[in-house]
Amino acid sequence: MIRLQQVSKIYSLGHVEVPALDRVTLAVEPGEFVALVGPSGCGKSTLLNLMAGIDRPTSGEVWLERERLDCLSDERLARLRRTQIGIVYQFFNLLPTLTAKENVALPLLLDGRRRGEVEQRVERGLQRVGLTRRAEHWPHELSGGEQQRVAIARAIVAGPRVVLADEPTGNLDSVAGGAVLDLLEELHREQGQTIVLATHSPEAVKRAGRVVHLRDGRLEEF
Amino acid sequence: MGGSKSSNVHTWSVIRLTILRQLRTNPVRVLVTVTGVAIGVAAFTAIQATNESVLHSFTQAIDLVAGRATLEITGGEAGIDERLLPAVQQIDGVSAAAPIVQTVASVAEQPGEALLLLGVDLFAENPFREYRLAGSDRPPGIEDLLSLDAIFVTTTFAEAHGLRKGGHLTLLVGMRRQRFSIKGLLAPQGPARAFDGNIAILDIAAAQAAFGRIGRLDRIDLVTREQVSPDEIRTRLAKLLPPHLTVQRPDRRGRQVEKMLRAFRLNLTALSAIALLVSLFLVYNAVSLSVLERRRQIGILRSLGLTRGAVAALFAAEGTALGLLGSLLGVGGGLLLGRSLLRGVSQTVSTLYAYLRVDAIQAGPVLLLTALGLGGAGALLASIAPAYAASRIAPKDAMQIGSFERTWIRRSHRILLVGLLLLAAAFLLTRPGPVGGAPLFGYLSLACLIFGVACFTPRLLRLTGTGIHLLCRGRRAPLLTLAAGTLSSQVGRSAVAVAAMMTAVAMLVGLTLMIGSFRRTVELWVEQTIRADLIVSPAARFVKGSDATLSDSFIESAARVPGIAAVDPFIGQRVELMGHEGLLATGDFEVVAHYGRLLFRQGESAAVMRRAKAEDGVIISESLALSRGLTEGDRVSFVLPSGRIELPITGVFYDYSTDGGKVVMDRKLWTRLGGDHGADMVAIYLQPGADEAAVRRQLLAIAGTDSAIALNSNRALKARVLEIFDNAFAVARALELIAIVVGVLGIFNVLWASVLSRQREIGILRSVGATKAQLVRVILGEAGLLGLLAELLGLLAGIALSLILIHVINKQSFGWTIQFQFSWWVVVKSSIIALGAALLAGYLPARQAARLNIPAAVAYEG
Ligand SMILES: Nc1ncnc2c1ncn2[C@@H]1O[C@H](COP(=O)(O)OP(=O)(O)OP(=O)(O)O)[C@@H](O)[C@H]1O
Ligand SMILES: [Mg+2]
Repeated sequence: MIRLQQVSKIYSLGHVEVPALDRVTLAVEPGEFVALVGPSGCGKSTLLNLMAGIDRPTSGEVWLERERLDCLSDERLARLRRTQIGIVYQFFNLLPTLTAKENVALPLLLDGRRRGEVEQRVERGLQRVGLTRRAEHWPHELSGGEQQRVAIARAIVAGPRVVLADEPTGNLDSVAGGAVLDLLEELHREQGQTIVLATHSPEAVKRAGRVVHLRDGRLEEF
Repeated sequence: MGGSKSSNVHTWSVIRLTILRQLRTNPVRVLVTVTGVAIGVAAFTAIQATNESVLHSFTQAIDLVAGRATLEITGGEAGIDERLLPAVQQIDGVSAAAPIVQTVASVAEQPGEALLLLGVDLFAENPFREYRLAGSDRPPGIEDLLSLDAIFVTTTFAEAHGLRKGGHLTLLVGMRRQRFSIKGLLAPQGPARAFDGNIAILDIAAAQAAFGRIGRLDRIDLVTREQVSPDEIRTRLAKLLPPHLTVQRPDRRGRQVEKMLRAFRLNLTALSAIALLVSLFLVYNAVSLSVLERRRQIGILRSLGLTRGAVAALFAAEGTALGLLGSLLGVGGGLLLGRSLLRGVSQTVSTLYAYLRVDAIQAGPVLLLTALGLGGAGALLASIAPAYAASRIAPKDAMQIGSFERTWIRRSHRILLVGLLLLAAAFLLTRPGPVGGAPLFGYLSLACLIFGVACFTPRLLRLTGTGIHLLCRGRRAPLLTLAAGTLSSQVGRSAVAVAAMMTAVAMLVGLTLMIGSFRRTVELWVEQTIRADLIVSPAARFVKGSDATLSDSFIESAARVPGIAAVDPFIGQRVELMGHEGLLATGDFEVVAHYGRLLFRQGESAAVMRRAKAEDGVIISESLALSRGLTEGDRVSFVLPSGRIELPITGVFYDYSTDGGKVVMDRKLWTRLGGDHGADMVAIYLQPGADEAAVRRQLLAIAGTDSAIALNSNRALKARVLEIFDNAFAVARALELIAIVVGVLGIFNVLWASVLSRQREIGILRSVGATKAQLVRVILGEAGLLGLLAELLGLLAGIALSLILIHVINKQSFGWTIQFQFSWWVVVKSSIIALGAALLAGYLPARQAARLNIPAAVAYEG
């Protein structure tokens, strides 16, 4: 499903070069639930960004199925993100000027799907995360946990191959965080959704099928 | 107090950390805002400097030509009988008197080039004026001085035209081309400096002969004894002189010129003030954006103990600094811009009012300081409201996103109310009449209108935003929905930019409609009233101030040319008409009744003309009727060489050829009252089927080989009238454009700030799959919506503005009745310009948005 081949990422800040990933090779199989763990600054977010195609590696190859992400055009990558890749962030990242429902619909709307299909899928997505009754609410009217569930609905609405979640519980209390993790676990179990989750929480690690350790940009797999 | 000193230090370091940091962190906005202010101030400075230069050129010329004269006797265009001169010289208290004849002559073969010809008695000049011959020229001998073709031109003029002493200069004077021989060059001193050297001196006898004014003077200059009061001398002179002559101090003429040009200058000033206003909106907007972006910083500084006053002062200082910087650049740019406008303005003044020649821009320190002060003070004023808003930010509020916006929304009701009150005031201010001839209330009404409509922007922005949002709900228009959402959630930052653009659009629409209506009105008038087939005039006539005439013998011969059905000789003379200068004119009423046509307020042309002729009545222009409160049946009075005359008004006609008012009488009556012979121009009506080319040849033959007459066909004359009209509005059109440019900068600022402040949002969009192209469309969509709203409000405001311009300002300034004409073209044109400009303004911000680094934008909480 996802393959990283000798991937390195070096940020350059003026004259200083910050190596974030160092020759990482990793494969995620379809239906896997992988947890990425490691100390702060070890490169988890960087790795997820590369998989999501919102950033490009300095060297190495990033494959999603048969597509080599590091070689695709911006345009093509954007289209991939609409339907093939779902992203969930620590800070929910809903658009404040759109309602919950509109936020969920966004990837489909950007993709130019027909209205009927959009309605149907959004309905199912919100149902999936248990927020049908919050459809017309604005983000600022929702709790943090609810916002994150809306974000998950948005990530899965187009039926992506993979959901990438970067510390989705980092900004939530343990109850709300637990609910979000439950949701991800259900998606994995019931629909065989492939998930890659970057996290610091042991609670989250417990639910994953495989744990990948990162340290200073290098892989330490057990 | 020690406290105040330490707070000064404190303030300075805070300024350094905020304002100066702003320059580093937000160079684009600083640049754009300063540029906007600079353009607005430049427009204002340019117009003021041009006005001042034009006026200065006149008064300087009057001063230089008057020399040491303390009083002058003038006789209008009727002139002064030269036999009065010895008697004037005899009067006790007069130590010297010098006769003058003057005219404006065109330079042959050089269309547009003219000079002031001054005929003087060279032997009487010494007490008045000094002339210095250039270089080592020996003074010319008596026979040279007095020869009929002798002329002295200035070195400046000679250099510009490649002339030398001993060379020749052909001028169009009177009906003729006349060849003068240059007997000497005048160094730039005294009168030779007037009109930048476009002046020439000749002997009075030669001048009288050349101008066809034998036995007549235009002016007598006097030097009076200091012991006798000028008033005393004036009473003594009054006893001696016929009533049509005035005795006055020479500088009075300067004031007359000023009065004559006042409406024209005021109009331009008001337009440039609108451009300045648009740029001040820009400052308001820039400071608001800065407050918005730094509300956290303000909150932190406040919680660290910075006082409310200090916060307000900080932002007020920021706005003022932007304003002053812009003004400084604007004043400089304005002088450059003024130089390029000067030609156009001086040409317009030359065709409409009086001969004028200006080369250098005149801008005194007062003007420059005024422009600088207006820019600075305006910017301070513009930043007061946002600075106050900043000072109200409580430490805790600052952390909440959108608290600023919520205040705006809460306040939008009050703003709307203020807007309605201002609009009501704008309406009421159209009622009162002029103040001292100037439509002051009209200009106030304009200001209220602009500010009033500006007050509608916050509400309208919100309504449109929510409206589009509701409409697009669930449709497949996510981009538009997003743009609309931004619109309604960012009212605070967008409202003022839209107001600025609205003002610019209003100016565009208002002026276009006014000028269009005016032009249409003039076209109709030209179409209906210019009926003659040919118009003959001395070629010298194309500059104002030339009083060249066609002779009686020419007119009589012309009437006998085969193919000509009738001739209507026209004379117009500037006289005082009940308090103000106006035109007293004559024509052949029978001919006009039969062949021509005037547009009368009441009655049919031929009938009114015949009745006027039969009753010895006059017809007057509508502008005169309006400004002096006259109507049909009243009597109008004026002074002629033969004494004060009072005549009944038979008709009031529409006229757009002069702004001072016009009284016209039949030629028979004119002659009976001792009016001039000849004609300024002759309208010729052909017999049906006559050969126009043959008639033209005949007329030229009658005029003689050295004649300088211009023959204009009906079509050419109509075109010429419209051409003069268009030239007169060229500067106004330039100002329209300037206002639009400044308005665009405002929209740019908003979008740029919006992109900067919404990096996260943009990042999110990109990460859920928006392509760069889609993103660009969102930003351009926002730009378009802002432009559309500005267009909508600007269109409405512009229509109201044109109505005020037409029915209040022009009517009160010039007395012209203009038929309002709406044209759909103005809607199309302004929409294209407003939308195009807004999209242009959105282009760079959109590009900026597309370049965004996604991971960085979405990583942290914004
Ligand atoms: N845009 C950037 N520019 C420069 N350096 C960066 C950038 N983003 C990340 N880094 C650096 O790259 C390294 C990896 O960062 P990354 O955000 O991937 O770590 P992380 O494992 O996600 O940490 P955390 O658990 O704190 O989120 C860090 O040293 C970080 O400082
Ligand atoms: Mg991270």
